[in-house]
Amino acid sequence: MNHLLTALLVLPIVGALVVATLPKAETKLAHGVGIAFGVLEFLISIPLATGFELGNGGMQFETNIPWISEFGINYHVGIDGFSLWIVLLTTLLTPLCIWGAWNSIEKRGAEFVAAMLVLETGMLGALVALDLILFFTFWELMLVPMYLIIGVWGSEQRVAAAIKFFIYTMVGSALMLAAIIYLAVAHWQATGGVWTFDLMLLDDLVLPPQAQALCFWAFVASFAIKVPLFPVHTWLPDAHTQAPTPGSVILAGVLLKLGTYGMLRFAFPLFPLAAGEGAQILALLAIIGIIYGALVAYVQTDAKRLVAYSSVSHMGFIVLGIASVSTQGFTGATYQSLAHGLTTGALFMSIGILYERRHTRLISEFGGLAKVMPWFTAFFMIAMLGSAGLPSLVGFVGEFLIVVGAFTEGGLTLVQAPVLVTIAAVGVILGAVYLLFLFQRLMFGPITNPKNEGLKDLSLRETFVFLPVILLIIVMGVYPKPFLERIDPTSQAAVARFQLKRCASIKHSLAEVPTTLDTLVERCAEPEKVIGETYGDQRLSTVMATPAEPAQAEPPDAPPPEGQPKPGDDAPKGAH
Amino acid sequence: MNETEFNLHFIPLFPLLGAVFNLLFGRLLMRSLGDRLGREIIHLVAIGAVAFSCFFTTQALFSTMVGHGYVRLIDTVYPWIMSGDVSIGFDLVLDHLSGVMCLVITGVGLLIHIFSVGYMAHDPDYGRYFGYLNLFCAAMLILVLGKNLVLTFVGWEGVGVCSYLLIGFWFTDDAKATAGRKAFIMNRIGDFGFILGMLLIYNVVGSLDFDAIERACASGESSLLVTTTTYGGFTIATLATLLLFLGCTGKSAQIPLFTWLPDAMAGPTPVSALIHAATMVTAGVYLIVRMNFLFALAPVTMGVIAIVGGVTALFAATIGITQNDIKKVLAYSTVSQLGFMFMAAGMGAWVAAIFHLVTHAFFKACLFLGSGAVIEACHHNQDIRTMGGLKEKMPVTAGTFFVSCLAIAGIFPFAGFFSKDEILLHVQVNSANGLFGVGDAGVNTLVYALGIVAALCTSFYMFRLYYLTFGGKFRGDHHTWHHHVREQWIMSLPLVILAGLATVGGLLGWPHVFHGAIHMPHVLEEWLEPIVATSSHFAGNLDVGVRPEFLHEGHVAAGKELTGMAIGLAIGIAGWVFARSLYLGGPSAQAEGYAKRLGPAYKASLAKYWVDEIYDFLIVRPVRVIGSLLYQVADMLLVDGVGVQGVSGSVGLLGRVVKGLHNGNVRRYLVALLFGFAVLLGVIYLNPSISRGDIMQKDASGERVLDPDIGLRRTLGEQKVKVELFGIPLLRLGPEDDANAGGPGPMRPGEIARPNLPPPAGSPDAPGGQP
Repeated sequence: MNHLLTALLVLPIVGALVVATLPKAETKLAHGVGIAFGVLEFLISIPLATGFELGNGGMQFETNIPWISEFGINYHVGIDGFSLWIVLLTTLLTPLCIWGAWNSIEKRGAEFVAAMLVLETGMLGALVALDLILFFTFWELMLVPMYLIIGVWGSEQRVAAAIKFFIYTMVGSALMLAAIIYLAVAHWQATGGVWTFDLMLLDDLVLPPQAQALCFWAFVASFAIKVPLFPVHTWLPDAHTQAPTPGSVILAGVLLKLGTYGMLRFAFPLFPLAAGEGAQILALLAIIGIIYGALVAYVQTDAKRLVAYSSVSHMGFIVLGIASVSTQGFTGATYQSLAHGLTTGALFMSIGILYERRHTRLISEFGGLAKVMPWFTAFFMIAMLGSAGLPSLVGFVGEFLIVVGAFTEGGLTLVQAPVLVTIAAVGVILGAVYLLFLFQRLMFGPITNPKNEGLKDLSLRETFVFLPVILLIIVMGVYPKPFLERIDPTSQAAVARFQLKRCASIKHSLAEVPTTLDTLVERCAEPEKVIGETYGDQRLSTVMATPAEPAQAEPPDAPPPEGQPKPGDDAPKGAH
Repeated sequence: MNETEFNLHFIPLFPLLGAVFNLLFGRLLMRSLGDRLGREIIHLVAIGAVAFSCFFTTQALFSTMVGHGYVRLIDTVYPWIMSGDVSIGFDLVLDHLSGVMCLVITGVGLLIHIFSVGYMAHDPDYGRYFGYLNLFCAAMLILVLGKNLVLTFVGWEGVGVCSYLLIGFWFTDDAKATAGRKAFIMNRIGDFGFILGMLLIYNVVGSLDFDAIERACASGESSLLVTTTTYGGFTIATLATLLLFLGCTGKSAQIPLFTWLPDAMAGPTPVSALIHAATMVTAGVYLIVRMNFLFALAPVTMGVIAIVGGVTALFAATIGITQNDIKKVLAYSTVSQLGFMFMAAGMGAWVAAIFHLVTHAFFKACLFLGSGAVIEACHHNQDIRTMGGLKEKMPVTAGTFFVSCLAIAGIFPFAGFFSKDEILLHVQVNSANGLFGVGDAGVNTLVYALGIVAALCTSFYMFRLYYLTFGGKFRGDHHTWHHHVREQWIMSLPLVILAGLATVGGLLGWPHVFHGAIHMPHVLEEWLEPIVATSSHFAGNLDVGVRPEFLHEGHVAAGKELTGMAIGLAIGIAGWVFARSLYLGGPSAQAEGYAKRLGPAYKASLAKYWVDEIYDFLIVRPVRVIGSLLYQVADMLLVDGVGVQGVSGSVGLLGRVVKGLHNGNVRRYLVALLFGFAVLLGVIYLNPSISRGDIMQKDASGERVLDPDIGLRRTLGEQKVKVELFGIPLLRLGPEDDANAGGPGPMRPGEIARPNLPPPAGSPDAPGGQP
């Protein structure tokens, strides 16, 4: 039993209560207390990384206490490589955001700080929960403070944006809840009457194909909206644009990551058969998002909207990595989550700083800022280059791993993975196009607008808010080892287990009732072979290795370019 | 081959630290210590950092490598990207090739740093300038020292960013900022190819370490890289090298991605000398030579490289003839000379490519720095039509410029003569088969012709430039002539050194044919031998690259080599004489007459063949239009409008309808309740499978089968699809007969899994049993 995570979950709530009891007029005091709690929280979370056992892909820092024992609902929390660093990112960004809002949020300051702290608990809870009901509770808990942050402290059209955000997310949640309950029932069925919502136990369940498909898409619906995946992304630009700066930073930095985290933690491991089949659709949507988000970002006139659409593009890479179900894909996706959180967070902070000074987000209002705000420009540039995936900055590591994983190992779940990666790589070009375009219009050229002449460079407070993020962008790009070595074992274990369960699901695919994994394990000695026989193995390594012996006479055709019927033609006809 | 551990990371580390120091504290130093002292510290740190790298490299090379056979220095700094079986280390290697490159980078870089002290003396952003310059050196050194492709890519992108920052150094001018952005984006297009090429190689070799790739290539035609074909019927080697070459065209400004380089002249002139002439733009040539073993396995790519190089060489040279901006002429000249290097690389003449790279670094850096001195003297005017006569007041600059002109024009005995002739000779002698079939010498003839004409143009435009700038009478205003035109020793010193190198640089590659007169080794050829050993090993059976008999003793017939040299020299002199006759005393009426007579061709060349405009029309605008369309139509109208608003609107509408029903009339509620209950019962009664939760399909024998079409994957795969209407097949895809196939894996009826637990109480159906 380790109570570190529990402390992490409780502390922000305590902080929120303390802040709520402060006198209304004392906005600065509320901010101060909030920052103190946030920093304390961050300090407490550091042992998670330092005490994290290397080479262990399983759960660590676990706590498991019965909560509603009639239905097997437990307070079960723990972290592994997928959640560790996002937890730390959350505890880092929250105090920075509260500090960053020192001057910008005057109205109802105490309530704002309280909302931020509650939001922190919600996000952390969702990240560490290992019980589906617990997870769902925190998942919904996040919504409320975020809704308030957008709706109360946002810009002109904040209410509409808040409602859009809330309803979008609720639609997904409802489907997910139904699937969660079905899972528990299925477990009860398979085990002869044992109720549980514990992820670790439910993970042993092998569902029949249709059930997997329904549950998978129910979970994915919820997560895809959060990511957001094309075409359910339209809440994001509105929410980002209308949210106050700290809201945007947290939204981009952590909230969106919960979508991809959910896929890694729940949707893919729980329903491997359906995930294996659905991965192609996810990957296609991801790639559409990468290109689409980039092109749309390019034509934005509002700086914040531009960065919001760039999120759509970047999150596509993460989903592509997950859909490839490969060690590098999973590790890369997790790393890219951090990278996106840091770089996009920094970009939103930067635009927030401009908004504080000029009360506009229109790109055309600016220009030539590098002259008057050199340090700000330098920070912005590092964040931008990190976002564009420049090697030696954080964005490259994740992107590289994702494309390597998808390109070489994606063939068990993806059709024509190299083609998908090629299209995704076009997104890398476009990423440079819109980011540099934004940068130039904000920072370079002559100062055309006299209002910009007197703009002040970063204050000491703002510098300190920026500095940790900027330093991490550089350090994580130059020396990613401490981060990767804690993520990678989990990815390896997850991929191996995914293949095993997928194989088991194939073996079980003609039955109509769920069963447990242990009944099928001995039939899946070589899961990848079984999967390959069923679905075709298009991993380039196997495709090329197979015909190596007969070789010489005729060169083996690697991925057959025209070996298959056209997807578009027969997919609808094949469906019943 | 010997390998020794060595602290190579100091080579890029010092410029990096210099950069960090100057970027962080440069502004502060100038403010707190006063302008003069601040500047002193800034440039001493920057120059010191590069000087240290230069010294360190020289020391390492001469103490451990020169005269010790083939020794490599390795530095395994730390594991960088590790995941699963991917392991990319931050590993550096100093071998004979990266040694040459490091010397060029740090040596020429040092001179250019010194020159910058004079050139940038009055710039307020002194610290930022030297910071960027040091950062560039660090990135470039990582590029050439990287032991694997990914690390090379780090440097590759790093120099791209520094180039972006330095082109747009005077960012308050929007045009300059745009030029920087254009350079970065064009390079990014090339990087797209670089990344995909890396992935293809990784996929076969399982590593991106150069040594591992070389080992995989060592078996020549039986290497997996050649025996595996992929998209379009290309071998992996061909496709990967084509993609890498796309990266090279971006970085080294070749067709089609060359238009950024002339625009890059917006940066400070020393930057143009260092980045856009001597070092960064040659990275593409370096990459090809570094991976010569792989490129040699791809004859198609080699042919493409040779032809692209040749066409670029000529194309850029014809533009250079008409330009009036001193730096633009030099920029197009650089593009053209890089074309020569690619010509050589495409013919498998790796040594000749590196030879020209080195000599070009000397004379082109000298030319650019000379132009910088001129521009500084002429009060930042770059138009050669308003110059002239500068020889009088700037004798050192004029002299060094003239020497470099002789070198680039290929006049004996200056450096360019040797390197250019070696290239043209290889183009004649080597074979570039594979593109048009084995044994076809068409590529050779074509590329040779392109090279000869390009060399003629080179000589002409260089001497045109020289005479317009330094000859005749000054055509600018008097004030500039009297108050500005002067020389500073700190700028002249590097010029003299570089001109000296441009004079004697040819001795690095003393031709074998001259051995009769003076016996001297071809230094570079012997030095680089171990680098190209693998690829020259399979020259015989693959019929690509350097013929072994040419690489070692024996060589081509002396007559052929001498004829080639004579032609090269004649061409160089012809261009010189022609330019001299037209421009000796400034722009002449005769020159104008030619321009008029050539009419459209002249205009096309002056307008750079409208390539920028064509790209703008074909690519830049469409992307913007598509972006707008997607945003306005797809995002706002369809997804958000029809989709989201439509759903929410219809929910609202439904709400209003339902609201009407809920009017408080209990009788109506009861009727509705009864009706609903009846419908529900009816449905359940009529469709018993719902009550049983039976969603499996059954085949004719009543056996349960899995619906074969769930999921996209199966539909895409080998799955047979058959659509019939009254027994007439309408559509049939996939294998004709599946009688003996039986369906793979899980589709077999016998595969029904039975959980060994007793069926739970709530479910009456035993698994597998018929309801």
